[in-house]
Amino acid sequence: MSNLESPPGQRQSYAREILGEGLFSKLESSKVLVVGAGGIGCELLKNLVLTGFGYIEIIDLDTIDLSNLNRQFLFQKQHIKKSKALVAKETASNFNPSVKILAHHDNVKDPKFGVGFFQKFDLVMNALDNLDARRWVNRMCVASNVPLVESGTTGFLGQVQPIIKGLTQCYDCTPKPVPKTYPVCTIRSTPSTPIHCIVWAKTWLFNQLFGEDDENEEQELDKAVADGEDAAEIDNLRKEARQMRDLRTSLISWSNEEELRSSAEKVFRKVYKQDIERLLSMDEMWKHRPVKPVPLDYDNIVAPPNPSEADGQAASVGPGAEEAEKGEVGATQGSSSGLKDQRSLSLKENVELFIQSTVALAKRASASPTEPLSFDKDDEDALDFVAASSNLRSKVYSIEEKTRFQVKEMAGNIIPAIATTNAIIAGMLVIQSLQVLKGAWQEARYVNLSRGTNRLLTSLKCEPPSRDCPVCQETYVPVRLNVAKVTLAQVIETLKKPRANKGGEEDGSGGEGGLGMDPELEVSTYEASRLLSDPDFDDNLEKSLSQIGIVNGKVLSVVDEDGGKANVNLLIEEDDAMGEGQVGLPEAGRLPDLLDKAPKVEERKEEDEDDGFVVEEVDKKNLPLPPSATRGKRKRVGEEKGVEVELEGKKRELENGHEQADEEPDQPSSKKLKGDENVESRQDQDVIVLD
Amino acid sequence: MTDTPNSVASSSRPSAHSQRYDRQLRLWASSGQASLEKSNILIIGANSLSSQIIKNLVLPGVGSFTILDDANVDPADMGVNFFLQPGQSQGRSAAQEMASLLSQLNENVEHNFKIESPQALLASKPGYFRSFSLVISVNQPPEFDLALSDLLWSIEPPRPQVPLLKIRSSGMVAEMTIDIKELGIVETHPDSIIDLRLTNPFPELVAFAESFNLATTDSLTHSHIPFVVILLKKLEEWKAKNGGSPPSTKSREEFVTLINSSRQPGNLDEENFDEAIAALGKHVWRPLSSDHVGAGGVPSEIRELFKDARCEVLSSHSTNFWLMVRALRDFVDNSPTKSLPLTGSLPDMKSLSATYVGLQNVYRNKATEDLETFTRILGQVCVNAGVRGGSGAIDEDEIQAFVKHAGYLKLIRGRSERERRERPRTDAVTMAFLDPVNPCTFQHHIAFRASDLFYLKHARYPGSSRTFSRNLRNQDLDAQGRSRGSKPDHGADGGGGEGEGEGDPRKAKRSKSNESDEMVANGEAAGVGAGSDVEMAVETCVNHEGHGEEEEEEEEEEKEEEEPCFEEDVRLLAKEAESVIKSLGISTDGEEMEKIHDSLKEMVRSGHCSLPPTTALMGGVVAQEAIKILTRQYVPADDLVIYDGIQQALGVFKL
Repeated sequence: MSNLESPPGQRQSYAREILGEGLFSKLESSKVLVVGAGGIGCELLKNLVLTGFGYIEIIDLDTIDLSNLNRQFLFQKQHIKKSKALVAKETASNFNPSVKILAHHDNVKDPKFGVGFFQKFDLVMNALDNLDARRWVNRMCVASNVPLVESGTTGFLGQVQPIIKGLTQCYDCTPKPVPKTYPVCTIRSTPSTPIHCIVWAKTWLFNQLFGEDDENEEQELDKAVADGEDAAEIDNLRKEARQMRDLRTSLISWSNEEELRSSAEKVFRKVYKQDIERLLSMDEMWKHRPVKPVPLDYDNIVAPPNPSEADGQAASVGPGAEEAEKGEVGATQGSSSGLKDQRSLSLKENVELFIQSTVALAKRASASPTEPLSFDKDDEDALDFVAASSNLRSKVYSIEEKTRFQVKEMAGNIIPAIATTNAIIAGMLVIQSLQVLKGAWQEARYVNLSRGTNRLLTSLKCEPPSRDCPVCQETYVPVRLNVAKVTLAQVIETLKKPRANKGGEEDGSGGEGGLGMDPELEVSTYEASRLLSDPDFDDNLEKSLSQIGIVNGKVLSVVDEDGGKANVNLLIEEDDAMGEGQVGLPEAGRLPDLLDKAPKVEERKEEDEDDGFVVEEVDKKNLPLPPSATRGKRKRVGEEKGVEVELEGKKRELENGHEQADEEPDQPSSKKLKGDENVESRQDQDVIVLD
Repeated sequence: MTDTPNSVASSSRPSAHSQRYDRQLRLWASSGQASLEKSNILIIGANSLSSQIIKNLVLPGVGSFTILDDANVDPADMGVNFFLQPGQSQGRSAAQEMASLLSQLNENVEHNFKIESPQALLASKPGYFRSFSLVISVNQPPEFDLALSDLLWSIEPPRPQVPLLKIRSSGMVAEMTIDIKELGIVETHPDSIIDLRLTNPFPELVAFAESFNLATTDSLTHSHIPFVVILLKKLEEWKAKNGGSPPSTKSREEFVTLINSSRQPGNLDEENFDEAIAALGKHVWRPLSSDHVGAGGVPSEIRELFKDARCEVLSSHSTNFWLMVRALRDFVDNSPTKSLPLTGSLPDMKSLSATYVGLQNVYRNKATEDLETFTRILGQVCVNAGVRGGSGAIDEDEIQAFVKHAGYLKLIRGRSERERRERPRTDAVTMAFLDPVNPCTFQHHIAFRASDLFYLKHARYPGSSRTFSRNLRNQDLDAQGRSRGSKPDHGADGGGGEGEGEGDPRKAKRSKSNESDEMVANGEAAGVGAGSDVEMAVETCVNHEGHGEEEEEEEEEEKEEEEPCFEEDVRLLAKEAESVIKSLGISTDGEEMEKIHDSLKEMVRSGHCSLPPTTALMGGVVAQEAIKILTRQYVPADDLVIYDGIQQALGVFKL
């Protein structure tokens, strides 16, 4: 091909020499998986290709956006809206066609990427930007016994963590911060900060009008009453919601532009006038609140009695939103035009923006009524809507307004991301991967990139697994079966059969071989946190797995009711060739041992030396995992949903106020963003979203 | 009305420009971006490491870059340099090929290349190097770097100084030295600029706190008293009981008890009290224990600035930084509490909206007042200094940023390469080896320095052939070696091995000896086969054992072109390291020597080859520091950064 002048042997001659023949040939023959083709993923793919890795698969479900181009260098403007994985593969392959790269434009959580998929790799590298996918891949790697190198960056900070089951901590061995939540009444009727208004606009108003029907709304409100919130106020909120549904219908079933605009105006009148007036009529609420909300009058704002005022505020017509949307950088646009989204809008402009964005979103929603919209920070209409509607609400409650630029950051949980940090972390990822492939676990390090001026990188020896980890301290067993022909009871029965002898060549197709679980053991079963059966709940036992939603790629968890044994997770692999009631366990030599549960330890509490405040460890309740009998009370389907009470977020907040919290090198995820000001008002960004 | 539907959206939506840079604008804002876009950077050396550095500068959008190098691309480059086009770049100018491929990453960046020998250009047109805002010299010969450093260091105001970054890399290790004469940084981006003045409140804040009653029986009111007010009141109460002195960390428990005594029995909604206790460390103890800004004091680092000669003696050439430092000094002198201007930022806290807004106004109004006073003083300072434009000379935004960061200013006053070499900070070296926590990386600096001396003497890098070395550095070794003069005991050996009939050195392969096509062409035994590793290289040493040692050196050097010998090179390199070790004041009988020797071996083993993970990581580190310097935001490393991929560590030293 194009690089015939460079014989393959010579291309990586330096790497071959520095790394040594042994390790280098390992790179050439190993199979690695890169999860994520974003900021770190692009850098990583380049490094892998240059270093001499021979076989790489890369997964990413995302498409390329203009805001990626300041760091994701395998992409250029002509690639906008194309698949990240595919373009990354193309660009990298062009450099070295002799490397085999397979790209998946797909969600790593798709069932087809089950344990069978993960097991074919020698190493998995995470280059992800969200907690959920990180946890998923971590669990799959633990279940498949494949080493994982985890990574992440935030602004100038970053970290790399090598993970191998049994030897090091896994990603979930240390608790991860939970996203900040707000009490429903603060959001719905008594906001006091800009973030309250933004959350209202983004998660409530947007969804009411354009999003997925929120079936939990009623439950949330029930729970709020149960938690002691004002019943009258809640009742009021219910009424509001019902009217909202009518408005939604009229927005989506428009017949002409004028009608649509008038529906949008109706929405305005409802949320900024009628709802506020109704709130005001509840005297009890305002008795102790010195500042009452002030309803907005649409007509007065749009056509004020004194028209000259309004004219003065009219917005100038910018050179082109359309241009911006296409991602064209006009040659004439100086950097000053970059400030457009950093100016404050007048009240009238905000109203107009509200109407315009509502109309734009309604058109999109009505074009495909079966697909509800969801808020996306890079969706300009959605962001216009959230910026306008949150600022209008701020106006009502005399709260400071935010620019569109700021709203985007707060609503989109935007994490600053730059090329340099990603380059450093991706370089370190390869270094750690080399240790892993060498099998030099004692040399592998948890590496932290900080902003300190004395040492930028700190490397720590990998900690051994936490005994109470809800992920890596459990047993994982791949099972082959026909989900339509095996019942839940049959699965449990197989597990309780004695194990086949190691010498006796069992074919593992459901003969005598079981998992050797104590037949007396009382167990319950789960799919993630969904309860399927327990000793008092046997409705599902005689149903086939497919009937209860256990299909290819799902994980069926078997939990010891007494908590003596660690959970057993069955990784379901569909095999149509398997017969009625047949449960194929791995052959005797590869059958994992059943583990005992770690002795129950008291909830760890640490005292802050400096101010004597007790900080409780962030709990693990947001893990999408079955509970173990020793941890927390069980909930049936649906029960665990609902609004988390504020206490949850408060704990985090206090932990952040905690003096040392920012400096703990092994907790990089708890680091706060170093913004310009009001750092402390941005707890909502505690969610680690790493690039 | 037909054009209205887009008007508001289009005037408030970001341009494509700010969309592209959105994620970084949140780090250094449009002011930092503007500085970046004004910069023009010179990169000396077209190689795999420089391509990674440039990539990381082009992506965030520097104004322009220029690559200076006269080398052509050879096959070995293709394997390690991502910004060369397979099948196309080979044989062409590396600077030109890289410039054109890198420019595709961002069409807003102007790209240039100059196909000329850096050494020749430095000799013929020194002014060229002074026309850039930053110069990055990648894997260039030591004497060139020193001459360049001398040149750039000699620039005097009002000409803007040109910071110089010098990078070296070899296998798993790399280092960067930064020459900055002086850099005053305003936007250092501290963790927080919140300054509550709880222990030293201004009158308006005292008055605001007095309007609250901690003993109120109304539970809603009680649970919404902001923590700032709780702490102000409790501090007063404490002081009244303790002869006017504030609580110390020793009396923390008692003070917490005092705070808790005002909780309302039975009221479960008292997070404001939790917040008050949680805020103690940050807003009470820390400010009290130091001259922390939050206590209304002036931190020692800022007081140092006040004493600086540049603050003392102003002229029309004074930089804005110093004019404002002087104004800050005058501001503090005039302040009744001898405090810095207030930042006016307030953290989020539990309170009623109206209370929060009220409190915010107290801080903001004071901050506005301080800003006005500062601006007035600054105007006077400018006029007195004879600055053109007087009080209007400095941009309003710049003044605002300065006042906000007045407690967190940072002055970097670096050293030149010459100072570092002639008068190294030996105490820093001693400390470098004593770090109890982090792996030591300083030994690699010694190895790089020794390797430089080795190069001057042997006309090649340890562990690599002359052909490889010459191409790595891309220069005429004969000229360099002789003009600089090697040590007397080796006399003219410096360039002795250079064959006449080798043809244009630029066409030679940049490969190590055992892969050099050229040698095969010359009919020489290639020594070891392609793909050999160190063990095999060591084996070849055996062939040399029959030779005498010192007296044969000259003859050996003749052969070095073909057969660099691992153990022999380690020995020669160790010899060079001796003088470096001596000049840095390192004791020769400690553990240091072991580390140094290991590093020397690694240096020979890797033979200045380029390893992709190292170039990737170092490319990030170099560009990151360059960006900090160009934006004058965040605090850049000062002044020697050493990366060690074996220990997976990165240390910063002030040599």
